[in-house]
Amino acid sequence: MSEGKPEEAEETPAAEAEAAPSEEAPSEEAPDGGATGEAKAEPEAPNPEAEGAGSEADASEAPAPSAPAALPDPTPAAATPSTPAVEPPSAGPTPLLGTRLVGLAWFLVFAVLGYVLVRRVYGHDFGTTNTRVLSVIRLASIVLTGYPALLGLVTLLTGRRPPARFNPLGIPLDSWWYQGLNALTWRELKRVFFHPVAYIVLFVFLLINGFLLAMLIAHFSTAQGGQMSNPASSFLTNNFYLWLSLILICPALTMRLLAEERRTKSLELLLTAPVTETQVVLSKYGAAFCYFAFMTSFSLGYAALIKTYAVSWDWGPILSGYLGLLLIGSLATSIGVFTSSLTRSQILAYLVAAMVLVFMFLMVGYMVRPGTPATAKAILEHFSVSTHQDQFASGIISWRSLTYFLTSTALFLFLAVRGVAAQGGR
Amino acid sequence: MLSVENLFKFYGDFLALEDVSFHVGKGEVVGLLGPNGAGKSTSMKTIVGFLPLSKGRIRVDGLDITRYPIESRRRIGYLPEHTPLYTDMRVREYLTYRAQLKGIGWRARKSRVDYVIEATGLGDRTRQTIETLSKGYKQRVGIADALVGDPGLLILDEPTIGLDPNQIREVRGLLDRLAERHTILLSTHILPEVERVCDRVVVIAQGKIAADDSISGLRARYRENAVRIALRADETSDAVKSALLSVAGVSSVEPRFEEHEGTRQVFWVECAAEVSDDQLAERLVDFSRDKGWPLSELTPQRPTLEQIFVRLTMGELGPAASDAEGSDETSDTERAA
Repeated sequence: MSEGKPEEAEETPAAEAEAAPSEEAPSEEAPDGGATGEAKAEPEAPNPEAEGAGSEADASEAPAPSAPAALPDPTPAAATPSTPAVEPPSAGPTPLLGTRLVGLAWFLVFAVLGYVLVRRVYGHDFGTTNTRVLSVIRLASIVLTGYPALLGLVTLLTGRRPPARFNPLGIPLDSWWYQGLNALTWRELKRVFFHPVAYIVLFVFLLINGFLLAMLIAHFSTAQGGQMSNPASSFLTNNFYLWLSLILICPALTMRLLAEERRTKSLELLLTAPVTETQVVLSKYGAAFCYFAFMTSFSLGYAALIKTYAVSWDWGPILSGYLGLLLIGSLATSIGVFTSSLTRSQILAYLVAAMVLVFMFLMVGYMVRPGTPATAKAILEHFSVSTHQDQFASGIISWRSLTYFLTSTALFLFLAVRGVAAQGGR
Repeated sequence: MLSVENLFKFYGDFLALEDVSFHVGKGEVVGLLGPNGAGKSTSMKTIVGFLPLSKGRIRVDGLDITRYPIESRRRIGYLPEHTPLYTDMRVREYLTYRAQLKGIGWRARKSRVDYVIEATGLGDRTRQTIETLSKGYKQRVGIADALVGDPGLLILDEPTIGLDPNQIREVRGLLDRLAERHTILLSTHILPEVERVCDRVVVIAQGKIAADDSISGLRARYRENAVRIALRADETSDAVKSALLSVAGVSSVEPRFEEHEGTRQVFWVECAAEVSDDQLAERLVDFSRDKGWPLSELTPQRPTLEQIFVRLTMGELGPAASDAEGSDETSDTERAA
């Protein structure tokens, strides 16, 4: 993500080395870079290597040996006057979690994910008998999950994150990254939950859900009531009126998030703090998504209500339908965060997001006509939200749909990060 | 602490900063001066990493800001122009959030926030929402925010803009106190402030560095090479003028007829650049004693910072460029003072 661009290594080590001694007090902790992996003990760790500045090996290793070499004896004397109890609270980045813990988490998550994925990939023929294609796919699945797991393992064992050139994707392996994300996310959650828009949105959503409930009850009381499969999940999670409400609601939840920061110039304040654009975008998205989940959980109550009157009941399609709904919400909020990142006008962010959502929800219904070529139809169907939700609502959780939602969410979040970083609106 | 080397910044085709280089040493207080639109804010925003630079290199504490964006930002406390804040938050809540964001661990956080509240005199407003604060208090919250990450370098973009004189005085007092512990780069166009607070000024005009010097250094460089002298003499002014011209180092003498009253005669004496003001003054004192013309006024013409500023930023960059109009103003202000 937006860790420093690994530029040409023309940075002279001397320049870095001059920085190291000028730090406030690398005296106590700097010498044992490896052992201080659990850097939580140090209240002040302003030396670059401890907080990932020295991500690049050349940089982190250059000052490290030179600084301790010069330090051992003169420092207590030299450091005392330069930091004469500068301020009572000696402030500095204190990692919330040790770096090793982050490494452990990455390792565990990707080891488990990799195990599941690789097993599936090996048990699947992908409709081809070409062994070369198969081995490429298998290799890809191993690398994709094995690499982050390996980085996590290295971090776990060494206690500091691997140099950036071994981590071109910028997988965040520093504890400060999570600490910053934590701070940002709490702030954004407060902003989203304690704002009138949230409750107007909730009102609209519940109103439409009440309407859907009424339709569902009406449906049950008619003669054809029994003919529809999974009526509850289709009404509550896969319905035209629901799409309409989501198209109206999701952009309203997200329109403020970045556009307002841009308009009030507080984005400047935010981005000049030691946080990356990725953290900012993820926190905004996370908060909006949490609100979406909170909102949808209310309509789950309707399902429970109907269950008490139902003759036969199957939670399966309902739950998979809600999973689909959450994935849709994730996609919709990421689209909203993206459009919000592009402009300082909330209205514009709202409208553009709503237009994209209209397109994605209603693509198949209006674009596929009897004469549409089969390939075009297949593509449109794959990119349409509704085909995937049809499956979820009937109780089918397919990898294809999961991949669709997760990758498209990731794509829009990536675009949002680029949008925040873009200079146009600054 | 901060070094800016050959910084270029383009906005599209517009060259906002052209080959800007300056250094700020540890513990220095440097003022960034310049007219509006000269590139003060742009260079500050570039230094704090908000705007990407087009060319050049900026280092904070020896760390290249494009290569170590996070670590260099940790070392900087930044107060943006117009102090954007999250106005819906309460003062303490906001500062705690910012402390957390700047990586102050939970153990140190409370004491750190207490410290900055104390340092900026926000003690009685901690529970107030920021939007209800006066502009001066908002400014203090902004400065407290810049301080809360315990940065070595403070970058303050127009810290006193839009404040009333009392508030300006308060903020200036705060800056004085901060200057004891921090390296400060501040931009402003309130010149008395610069004279009070700064050790050194960097003047930017039209995206270029026009001057980078201490205030006394600037004064010496842009001195007028001129003295206003008033004598009591019975001779005609032409005679006095030619007598004055015979003093070593004097290059031109101009009588100020409008100010002559009785036998008091006022002249504007310019000297060669290599003669210092002190030397010239001594020679003129000797001259008046030798001639027996009592001296009633001898004023070396020192430009105010304002005049230097105008000259630097209006394109008259040479010390030679001293126009009579500017000089008249000088004498007026000097007399008023």
